[in-house]
Amino acid sequence: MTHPAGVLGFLDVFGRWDPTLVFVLAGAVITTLISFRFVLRRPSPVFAERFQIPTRRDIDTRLIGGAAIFGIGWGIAGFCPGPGIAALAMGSVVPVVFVIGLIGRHDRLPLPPPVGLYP
Amino acid sequence: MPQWPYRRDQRHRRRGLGGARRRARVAVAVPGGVDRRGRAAYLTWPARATLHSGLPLWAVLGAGLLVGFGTRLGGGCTSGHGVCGLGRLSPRSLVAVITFVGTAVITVFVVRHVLGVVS
Repeated sequence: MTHPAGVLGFLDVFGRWDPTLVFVLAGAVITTLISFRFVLRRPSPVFAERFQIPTRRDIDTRLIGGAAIFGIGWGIAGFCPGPGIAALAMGSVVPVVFVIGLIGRHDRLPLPPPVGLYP
Repeated sequence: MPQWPYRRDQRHRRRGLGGARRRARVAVAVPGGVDRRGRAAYLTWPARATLHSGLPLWAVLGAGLLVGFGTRLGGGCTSGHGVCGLGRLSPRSLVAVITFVGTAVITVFVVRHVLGVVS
């Protein structure tokens, strides 16, 4: 959803709840649930040499910490990376500011060391 | 000279809006594309309230940093972990989705119901 109003309405569970995002996510996840079963059985994608599929099955602090930090930023602005970039075409300065932060110099920050939690 | 209130596509004909500003409008309109009736997409830009969560722009910038860094640390966002990860039935992605939805709900609760920010 490129409209933070819809995203934040969904996240406003304790206020006026807007379930629209549930249908967006449900439609997308149902699509991948079905399509990945067939697509990932192929030897390779059509336009690339091989599929790039994550293989990790462990849970560590980087995953949870990263998701938690992402969620805070998501709750503040209502944008994710994809919709934030798509919203650049909508004539407002707000997604521009968001994308500046998105691609800002945080790649220079060192990542905290991972601590395995499961298994 | 069109009468006030101007239609949005007639704004450039207001007195004082010279050729440079008209060209600037076209330069912005073209990347947005045109719709079925040939009107520039910028005419259909959503109201700012749908793109702005109500927090000041420095908070939106900080949110972009959080989303960017959190995605890097956690290995994905709502598209990566949410759509593709859940479609693959990945336990890592399920943990990530629950985590970031949880922190986002808490953040929106704090922003809207504790701090009272209205978008």
